[in-house]
Amino acid sequence: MLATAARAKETSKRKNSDLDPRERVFATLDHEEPDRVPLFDFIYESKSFENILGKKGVTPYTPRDYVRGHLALGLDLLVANVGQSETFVPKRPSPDTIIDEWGIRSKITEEMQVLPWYLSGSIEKPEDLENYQAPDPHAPGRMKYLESVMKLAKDKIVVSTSAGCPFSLAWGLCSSMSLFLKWVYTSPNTVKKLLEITTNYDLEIAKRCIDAGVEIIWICDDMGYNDGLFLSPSLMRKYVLPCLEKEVRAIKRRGAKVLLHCDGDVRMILDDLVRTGIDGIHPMERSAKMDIRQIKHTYGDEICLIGNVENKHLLPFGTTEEIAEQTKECIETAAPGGGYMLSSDHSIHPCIPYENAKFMFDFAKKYGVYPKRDVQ
Amino acid sequence: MKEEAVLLSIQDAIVNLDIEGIKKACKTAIDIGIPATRSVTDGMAKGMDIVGQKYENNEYFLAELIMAGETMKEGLIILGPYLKVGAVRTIAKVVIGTVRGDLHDIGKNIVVNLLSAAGFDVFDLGVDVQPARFVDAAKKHNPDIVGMSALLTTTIMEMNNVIKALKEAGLRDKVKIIIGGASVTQQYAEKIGADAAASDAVEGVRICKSWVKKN
Repeated sequence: MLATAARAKETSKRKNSDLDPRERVFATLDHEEPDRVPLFDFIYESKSFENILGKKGVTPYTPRDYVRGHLALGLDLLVANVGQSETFVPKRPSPDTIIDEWGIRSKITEEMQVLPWYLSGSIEKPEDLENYQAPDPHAPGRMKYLESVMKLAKDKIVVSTSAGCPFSLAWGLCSSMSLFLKWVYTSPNTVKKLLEITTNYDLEIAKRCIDAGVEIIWICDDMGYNDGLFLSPSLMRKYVLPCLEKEVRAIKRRGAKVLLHCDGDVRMILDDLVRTGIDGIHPMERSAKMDIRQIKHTYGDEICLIGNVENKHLLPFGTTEEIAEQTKECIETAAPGGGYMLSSDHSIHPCIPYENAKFMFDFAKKYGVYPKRDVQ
Repeated sequence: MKEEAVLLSIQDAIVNLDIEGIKKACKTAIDIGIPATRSVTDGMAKGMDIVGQKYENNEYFLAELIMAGETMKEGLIILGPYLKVGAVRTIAKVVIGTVRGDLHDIGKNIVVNLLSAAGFDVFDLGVDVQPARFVDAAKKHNPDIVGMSALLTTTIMEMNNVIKALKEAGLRDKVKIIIGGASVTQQYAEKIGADAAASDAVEGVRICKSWVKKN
C-alpha cells in the first residue's frame, strides 16, 4: 500500500513531463493517469521479429532481437518467458516433431522453432498420471533467457513474465483437449490432479521470477473461444477458478502485480476472474465479443484493461485511417482515469505488416497523452 | 417397454450425456426389436438436436458438445453390428477438413459429430489438408457440401486456394461451400466466394440442413 501511494504521489508530480516506462506502467496499474497511455503487445513468432527488425534469419530470436523488436515499436512493457531446463534433451521422434519435458509432442518447422505447434500430450488414460513426473521448476537454465532480457531491457522497457497456464497446460498434458473435457465428466479426479500439477509448478515459477526481480507476473490461460467458454461457468468455478485464485493470491502476497491473459468470450465468468484479485486483463478479443466499453464501465476501477485493437483483419489489412479510428476508440473508452494499456486484441503476428503495427503504436503515443476527458 | 419410451430414453441419454444410460437404452432397443437405424434417427439425432439448442442457449458449452459426441459414439458401438451398411439413409454428403498449415480441429470434429448425427455422410480429411486433397475427395465422393475450418488469419487464406482449386477442376458449381473458424467472417466468405460462414458448429449444421431442404 505504501509503495503504491508513494509511486502515485511521485507520478502525479511529474504528470506533465515524460515518465519512464516503469513509472508509466505502474501508474496505469495503480489507476493513476500517467503522462500517456502505455503501449504493450505480445510478440512471439520469429517471422514477426523478421518483419519488425527488417531482417531474415531471426530464428530462434535472441534476447537482443527480442528486446530490440519491442523497442522498435515503442512499447513500454514486454513479456519474456521462463525457459526449459538446460539439462533436458528433447526427444525428436521424427525430423519435424519434438517431445518436451512435459511429454508434450509438437510439430516443429524452421518457422516454428520458437513456438512449436502443439499436437498432443502424453496422458492417454487416468492411470498414466500415477507414474507421471512433472518437470522441476527449479531446474538449471530456466531463468537464463529471462535474465538476459532483463539485463538488456534495463530502464528502456519493463520486463514481465508468465508464471504459466494452469488450465491450458492441464489439458495440454492429455492426448487431446477433447479427452480432458470428457474427463471433467467421466474422471473428475484426474482433472483435479492435472490442475494440481500445473498450479504447483506455476507457483514455484512465480516465486523464482519474483525473487529475480520481476514485478509483473502474467497468468496466460485461454478459457474460451469466440463463442464462449470451454467449460460451463459452474464447472469453471468448481475446477479451474480456484487454481487461478491460488496463483493470483500467492503472487500478490509476494508483492507483484498479476495480469491475466485470457482469449475468448469469458464474459460469463468475468466477475469471477476479477474477484480472484487480478490487476489487469488482456486482450479483450473483439471477435469474442469482449466489449471494452462494458468492461471499463463495470470493472474499470478494479482492473487495468489491456488490448482490444482488432488483430485478425484490421491490423493485417486495414488502412491507417481505419487503424487510427479504432485505436482512438479504445483510448477514448478505456483511458480516462488511467487503467488502460493500448495493445492489439491478441498479438502482433506475422500477418501484420510492420508499418501497420508501428502506425498504431505511434498514433497511440500521440493520441494517448493525458489528461483524457471521459467521453462515455 | 414401449418403443417410443425406449427411443425417448436414447434421446435423453444423449441430452443428459449419460454414457451408461445410452448403452442400456440401445441394448434395450435391440432386445425389443427396434431397427437400429430408427434408434439413430429417432433417438440419437433428436438428442443431438436438443444438445445443439442447449449450446445456443448457453446451457451447454464445448465440453458438453464433446460429451454428447462421446455418448453417441458409445451408443453406436452397441448398435453397430445391427446397422446394415447403407441402411441409414443419408441426406447429403459432406467433405470437411482443416486447411493446409492449420492443425486446429476441435470445432471441426464437433461439426463432424453433429452432421453425422443429423444424417449426413461425412468424409473427414483431418487437418493440414492441401487444396489438392479437397479436390481429390470431391472427385471421389461427389459431395453436396465442402466444409473448411481454420483458426488463424494466416491459414484462412488457404480457403481461397481450395475454392480456386475446385474451380480449376470444374467442381465449384457442383458443391456448396461452408467455412468456419475463429478468424472467419461473413465478409471473408463473400470475398472468396464461399456460400456461407458459420460462427459455430451448431450454426454450421443448421446451414447445411437448410441447403439440403432446398434441394
